[in-house]
Amino acid sequence: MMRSLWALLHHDLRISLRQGNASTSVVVFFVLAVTLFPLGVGPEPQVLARIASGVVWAAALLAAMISLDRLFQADFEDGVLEQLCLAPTPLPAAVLAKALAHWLLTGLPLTLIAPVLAMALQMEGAGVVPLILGLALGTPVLSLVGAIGAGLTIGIRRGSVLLSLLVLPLFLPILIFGVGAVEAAINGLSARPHLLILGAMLLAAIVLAPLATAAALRANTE
Amino acid sequence: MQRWANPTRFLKIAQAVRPWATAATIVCLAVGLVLGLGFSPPDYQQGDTVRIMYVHVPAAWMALFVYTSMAVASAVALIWRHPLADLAAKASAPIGAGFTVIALVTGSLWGQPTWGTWWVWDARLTSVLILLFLYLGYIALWEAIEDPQRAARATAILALVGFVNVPIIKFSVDWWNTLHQPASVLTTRGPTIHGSMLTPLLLMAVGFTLFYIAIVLTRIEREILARRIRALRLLASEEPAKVN
Amino acid sequence: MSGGLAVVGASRRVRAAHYATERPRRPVAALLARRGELAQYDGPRFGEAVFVTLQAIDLTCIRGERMIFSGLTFSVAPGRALLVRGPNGVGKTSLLRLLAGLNAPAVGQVRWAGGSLAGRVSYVGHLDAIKAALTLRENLAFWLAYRGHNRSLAAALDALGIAHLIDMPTRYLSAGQRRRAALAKLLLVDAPVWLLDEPVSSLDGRGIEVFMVALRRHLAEGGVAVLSTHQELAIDEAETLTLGRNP
Repeated sequence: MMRSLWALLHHDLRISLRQGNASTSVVVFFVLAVTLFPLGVGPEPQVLARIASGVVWAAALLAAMISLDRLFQADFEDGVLEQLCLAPTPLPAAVLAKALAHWLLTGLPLTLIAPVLAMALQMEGAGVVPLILGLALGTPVLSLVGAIGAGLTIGIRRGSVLLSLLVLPLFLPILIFGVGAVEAAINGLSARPHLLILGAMLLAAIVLAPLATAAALRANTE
Repeated sequence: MQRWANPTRFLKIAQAVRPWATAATIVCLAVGLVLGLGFSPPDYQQGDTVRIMYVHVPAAWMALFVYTSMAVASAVALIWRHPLADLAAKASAPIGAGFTVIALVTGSLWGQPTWGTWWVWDARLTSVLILLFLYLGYIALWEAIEDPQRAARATAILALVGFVNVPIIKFSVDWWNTLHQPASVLTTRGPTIHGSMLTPLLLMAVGFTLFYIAIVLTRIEREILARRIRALRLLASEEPAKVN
Repeated sequence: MSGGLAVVGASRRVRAAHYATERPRRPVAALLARRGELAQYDGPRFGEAVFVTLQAIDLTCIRGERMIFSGLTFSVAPGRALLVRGPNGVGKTSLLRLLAGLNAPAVGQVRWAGGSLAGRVSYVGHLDAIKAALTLRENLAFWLAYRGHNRSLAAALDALGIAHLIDMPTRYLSAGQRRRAALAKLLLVDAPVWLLDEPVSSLDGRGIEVFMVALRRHLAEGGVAVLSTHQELAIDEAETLTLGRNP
């Protein structure tokens, strides 16, 4: 089974890279969204430093979300999804591989570029490491939970708007604990509890989200 | 025909139950409102403002109760493929969303004289607001998927995913709230509630529940009848093909 | 007749040659199965010790609020095919999707060796499941790896006459070439049950011929096939199931 999943991961990454890099547009969106805030609230360093962690996290949430609607849509349209449903490899495992591919193309680049943006927003240095760790733990959850929404909305016209309505409320806990980790570190407290909770959410999402997504995909290919 | 055997029995039961539920709703709400608005004592801190509680608190309870019923109905629908469970979940959603809106609006009306502002980013208010989004997402998904069978399964999965997430969201919002130090402090942990306030409150809660039952039965009934009409139309449209 | 397929994989080459001498031949197990006994037989292809019959029991299909068909019961013995026929909208695709397990029947069940068919099916539907952005080689290599097989692509592509297209991005392929590619997957993936929805649509005469060779070989090896078609296909091993409106 590992070989099948490896093949699927490889396949998905190859398609994304072949079709003009998906992660480029996600990263550009992320940078643009963050740029809006200094322009909106003014360039005072104190104000920016106060909102930096929230802005970076909220923008990361939105950036991870905008690419979700393609996660299964293309496979649905060209019949690959049907074949994945029929293969001996369990569908939830396939979902896990596809969510991992999504994270490698969105969550990982976001995590890597976030510290640069945080610095540009005058965030205090103490918050940088918790920001990176929080994003590293939190963005995979976004891909996994987002996959449920993507699975539920395949084949729907204007599904991407609906997808955000379904998925954003579920993303809130990640935002809260991600920002919490950074704020705690800046205020001289330990970021550990927040990061541990994010880790727990990641584990729960790895177990449960693929099952829910597979059920959604089966319902929608019927 | 076997497919409709169950709904037919349901229709009989629903038609028998509904008048009683409706009558009991009216009695409970009328007595509860008269007691709550007329005879219960004003709060020693909040004065007459506290009377909004008799609508607000039962509405908030119902918002959660209806979502729970939807999740249970969805689980039954997914596991046993019970056709009525789908309909019950679908019929409940707008009612639950309505209760959630009532809870939010009355909460806001209550907040203005008590806290001096229409909206506070308080943990409870925020989590109820998110609950409203969960309801709206559920309703929107029902409407977006055209095939009723597909829509039923997809929304059932969504309801369960949402249900699993409600405690997580509640927990995280509580955590977030203690982190951010709220601007005002809620006075919910006041003195234990007196009997003269508790009676109307419970009457209102029972009235809201009966109201939900009456409305949900009506909505399920209408949905069954609408589907029968559609099925008959389909049958009628296929008749000529048979003649050929 | 088996010439076109004699080169599918190294191990198959031997078998193909073997069949070439004594074709057409019914598997022993198929004969025994028809007498109600199941024989122990080293199935060369499917890794199942016993050849089994595909059974559909009392299938009822409801789409939307419409009853498509009900009470459909049939079985397909190893080495046999079932041709599903009937006018448009009568439920041929629904039946195949139901057999594949993509749709759940409202009533009834599909059985294979007393259990389910899951994971033993090759299904070719209206969609070819081919990624336009990738080359033919990449597409097929993915499905091979995903189904856990390790064999050469060239033979199957050669058999279907699309070997020269192997490194071409599939977006440049014609509908018929894409369909051939989808059929090439049948040859590459070992599944005892083929469920084919209009497999020869958009194929030319030569394509149909090649497909028929592959199908006969699959049946000769004890496989089972259910296919819907509007064309006349001469399959000796096939029964016909005509779906129609309820009388």
